[in-house]
Amino acid sequence: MHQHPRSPAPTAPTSSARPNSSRSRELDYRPNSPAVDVRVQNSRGLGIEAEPVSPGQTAQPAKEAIAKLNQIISNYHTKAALIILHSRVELPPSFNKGSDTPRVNRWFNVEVEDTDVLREQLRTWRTCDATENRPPPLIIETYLDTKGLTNNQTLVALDENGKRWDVLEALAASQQAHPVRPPSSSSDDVILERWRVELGDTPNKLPVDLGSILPTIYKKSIVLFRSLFTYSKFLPAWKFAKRNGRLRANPALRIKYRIITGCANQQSSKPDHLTMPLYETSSKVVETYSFGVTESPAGPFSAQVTYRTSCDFRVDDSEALLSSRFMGADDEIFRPSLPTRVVDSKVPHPEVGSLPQERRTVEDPDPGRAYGSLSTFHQVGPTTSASPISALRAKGESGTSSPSSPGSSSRKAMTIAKASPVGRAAVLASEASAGVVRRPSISFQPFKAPPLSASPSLVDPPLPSPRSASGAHPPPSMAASIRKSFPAVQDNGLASPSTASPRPASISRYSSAFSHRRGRPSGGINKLEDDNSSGKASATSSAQPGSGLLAEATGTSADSIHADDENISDFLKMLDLRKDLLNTSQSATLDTTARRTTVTSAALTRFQRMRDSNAALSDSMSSSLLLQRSSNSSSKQLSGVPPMVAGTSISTASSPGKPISPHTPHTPAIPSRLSSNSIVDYNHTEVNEVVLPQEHGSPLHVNTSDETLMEHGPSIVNPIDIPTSPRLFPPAYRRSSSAAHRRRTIAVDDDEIFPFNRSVSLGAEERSNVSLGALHRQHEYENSGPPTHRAQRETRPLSLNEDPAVPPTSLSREQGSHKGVTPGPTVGSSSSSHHHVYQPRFSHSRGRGSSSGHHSLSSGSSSLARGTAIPPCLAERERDGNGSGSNSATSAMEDRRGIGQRPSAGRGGPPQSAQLEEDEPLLFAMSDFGASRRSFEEGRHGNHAHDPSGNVAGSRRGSGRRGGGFHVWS
Amino acid sequence: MEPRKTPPEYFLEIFADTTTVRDILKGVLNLIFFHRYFPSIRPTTFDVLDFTLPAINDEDLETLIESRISALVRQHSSSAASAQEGGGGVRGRIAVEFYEKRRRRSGIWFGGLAGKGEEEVCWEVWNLDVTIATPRTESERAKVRKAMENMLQKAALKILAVVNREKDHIPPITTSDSNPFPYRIVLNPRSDGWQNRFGLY
Repeated sequence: MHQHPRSPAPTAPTSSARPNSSRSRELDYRPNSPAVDVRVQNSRGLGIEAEPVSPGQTAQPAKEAIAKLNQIISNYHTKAALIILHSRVELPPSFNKGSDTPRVNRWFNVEVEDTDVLREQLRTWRTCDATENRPPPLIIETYLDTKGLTNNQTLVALDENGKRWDVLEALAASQQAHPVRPPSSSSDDVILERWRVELGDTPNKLPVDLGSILPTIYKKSIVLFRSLFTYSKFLPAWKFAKRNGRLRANPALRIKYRIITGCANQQSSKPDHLTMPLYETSSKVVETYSFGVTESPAGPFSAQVTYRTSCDFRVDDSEALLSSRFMGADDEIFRPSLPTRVVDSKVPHPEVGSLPQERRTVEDPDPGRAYGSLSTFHQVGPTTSASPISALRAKGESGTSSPSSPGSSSRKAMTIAKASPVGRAAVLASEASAGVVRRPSISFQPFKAPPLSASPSLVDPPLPSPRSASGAHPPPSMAASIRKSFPAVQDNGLASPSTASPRPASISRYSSAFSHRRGRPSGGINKLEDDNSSGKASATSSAQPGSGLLAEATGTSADSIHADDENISDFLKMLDLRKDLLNTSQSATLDTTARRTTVTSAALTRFQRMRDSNAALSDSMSSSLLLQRSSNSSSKQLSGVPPMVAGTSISTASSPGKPISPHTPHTPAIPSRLSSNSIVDYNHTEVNEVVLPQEHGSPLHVNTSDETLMEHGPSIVNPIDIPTSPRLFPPAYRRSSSAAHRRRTIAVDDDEIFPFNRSVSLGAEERSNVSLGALHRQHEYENSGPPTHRAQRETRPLSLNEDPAVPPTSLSREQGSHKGVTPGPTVGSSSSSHHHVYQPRFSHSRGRGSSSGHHSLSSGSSSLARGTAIPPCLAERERDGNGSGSNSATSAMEDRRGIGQRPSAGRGGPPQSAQLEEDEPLLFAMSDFGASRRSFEEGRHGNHAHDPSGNVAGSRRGSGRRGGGFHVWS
Repeated sequence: MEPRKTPPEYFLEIFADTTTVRDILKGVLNLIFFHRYFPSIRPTTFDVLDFTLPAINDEDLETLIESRISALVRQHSSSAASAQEGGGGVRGRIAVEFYEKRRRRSGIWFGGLAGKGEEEVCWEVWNLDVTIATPRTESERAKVRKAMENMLQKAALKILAVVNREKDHIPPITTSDSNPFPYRIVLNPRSDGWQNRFGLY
């Protein structure tokens, strides 16, 4: 109102008197300011009123006024974009021609450095006008793009409690719920803000006094853009950007923007990445702030922003995230995180954790299981009360589940059977610790596992545990759990014999194929086992060693007593019975059934054990009857005088091993095989004992110890049955096995130099660091054609990294061995000090290779020989075991498997392969098992050769083996 | 049109402890001026507590703000010393007043008095009620810190809401002076101060 009357007067003065100052200023600015801006600036100056409004123009809006209006409309949008984005992203300044001074946009009296990067994107609004070419709504989205994340990085959102939530997971979940996404958002970004600058429709024609209105619009717009500037720095995204700017944040945390042409119905109900919640929260996900409406002749100007109320994002190491979850033990957390990463999500197991993991590592059941075990830990743990136990259970369960699939696929019954014993033993131990439940689980596993493949199952469980420990970051917790579990296991171990029953089922399977062989081997095995079991069991940690051996050993012991034939028949019967039980009852029911079985039929368990032993025996038999016999003899001797025997057996074994050694490239390894066979039991016992001390002794080593434990466990099992016999008897086979080992070692040598290290280190390092990311990577690698190579590469680096770790591990192992000796009276007594040392080493090596009885034998034997010779030998043994494991494992699973695989490979795989190789010819003739074995062997070989199948098998085996190791430990 | 119309007044509650009162007041005052200082500015920012507030690079304005804040702090320290037992805190008020220059209708009559025949009419007043707390314990400090943040945010949002909502009372800019609207920052204004001083007569 004032304006009109005044305008004439003031304008005149301004234009005349003051205009000079203002215009002079403007002129000064002009060079810097964009051409468009310059005009506007000139017209507005500071005083909007400066615009000349001649009376004559009132009739119709002057062209000049319309041009100014169009300029305002255009700059209204572009300036808003400039101000908004300047407070979010780095916009490169633009320069005037011939000058190095940044060009400044002074529109609306907010001076902001201009930029050219937005020119194209804002073309639509640059060229718009108030009538013919009205501007569409301008949408500016700021978002985080997760494409820049590496495989082991995860974008997490922190809720008000500091809890981390996997963003991609949440997005994936929301996408599933809402398949239709707005075009503006891609699948992997998180929209932080959506700014909407809009010129509303106006029903009216441009007023005639447009020229007099524009100054007011401009004035009000100044306020609007000032507040836009202000509010852009109140929003969470600003704080987020500011914080990251200081911290030189991950590229994925760099806010990106996109400029979108809004449509009239932009406010659709479609969920988008702006409004979808990233985590459960009671507060609103987004809020909207409106900057009010500025009426103009061209329509109402409005600006508003919808923004996430929480922009606390961070890039975390995937593993760290998992570990944190584990640490937190929040089931919920687990769920989200896991799913997010692995889109493939398989939900094999009820366990939440397991699912995501599996997704990630589709190929590798182990990691998932491991996680699952962890998850089960948390979940189950509470219910069960004993976390360790629950963990054990989980492991056992996982093992069973995993084994079933892997075993069925790649591994054959033979290997499975062998592996299974360990797993069973572990299961048994776990069961024992857990009580009835555990037993059932074990029993189930065996049954399930056998068809699938006992070995895988066994292996898998152990692997999970180690992985979980390592991967979980909660390694400490894991270690603790493991430790706990171990003691429990030990205790259980005693009880475990009953649990061994499940094994019989596996045996039954085996039995069908190799009844004859079984009988023989079983006898021998049984004897050995018996010796071991008796000695071990009777000895200190009878339960533990026993548990490891238990499945086999315990059963074997009983079996040994019984006549082979009788045993076999009994076993078969048992198997049938148990099969039913196994089939019908699963984990829960299985537990009960297992309990029942255990209770009802100790004899059955024995039979089963016998069967297992038989199966192992059969394997060994197939591999080499002679070997078995020899082993049996040695075992028998041992059994006669457990402690003494052990020593004797070792010596004997060593002697045979020596002859063998020549055959194999690795002489030490070869002798060790022989020795290992005989020794195996000792080693097992020792190993078990050793393992426990290690675990308890050094938390730091926990990871390693876990691995070692794993290894030990497997080693125990392995050595007993297969390794010795095959190697001893069939040199050619041995050679093949040895060759395989050798190959492995050779190929791996660099890496394998520290086989233990690798296995251990891999397990530990990979677990810890890699666990999540590594697993993913591994999976990826595995998925990719040359997984083995990658794995090897990974392993190598790992080994390098591990190397430092290795010594400790080796030390720990040695210590463990020593400790084991001391703790295990039987062992210690049985083996001389040297033997003890060796034994531990062997046990380690065995543990590695132990899973694979053959490998263990070979490795064990080698280790024994070496061990006897020198500690380095131990390392070599370890290497061997590792090498075997690595070879088998390396191909595929390295990282994930790495832990499990390597150990597993070393443990079960190699030995198995060796056995398989040896057995193969026989097996082929014999039955399907042979084929299965062959396949396993092939797989192993393949692993060596980098065959995918082999890799898979290796991984599975590894897992199973690991599980076995755990079992043993337990 | 109706010059005598009472200008809108807005009240802001400011809560601060002795260590942050300066920054908070500076932030709030700058925030107000940021939306009422119409000359073209190159906005800067400065951080207060957990907030980033805009600022105007204008020496005169900064000097004025600093002087007023210092006066308030001195007043507080003196009053706090005298009324140590006061408890809760010390209150003070800072008023920010914006004026427009009007040509006197009566023209010549007071021309000599008002310079060029103009008078300054207040068209907006911001009242900052400042409470300065002196927390003595850690728990108190934490509480005060939280309260300060909450109050500052509240005040900032209120300012934004006001400036965006109420624009129609902003006088037309009839001058090309660097600053079309004179302003004053008054410490402890009398309740009717602006009326008496600049009022109607």
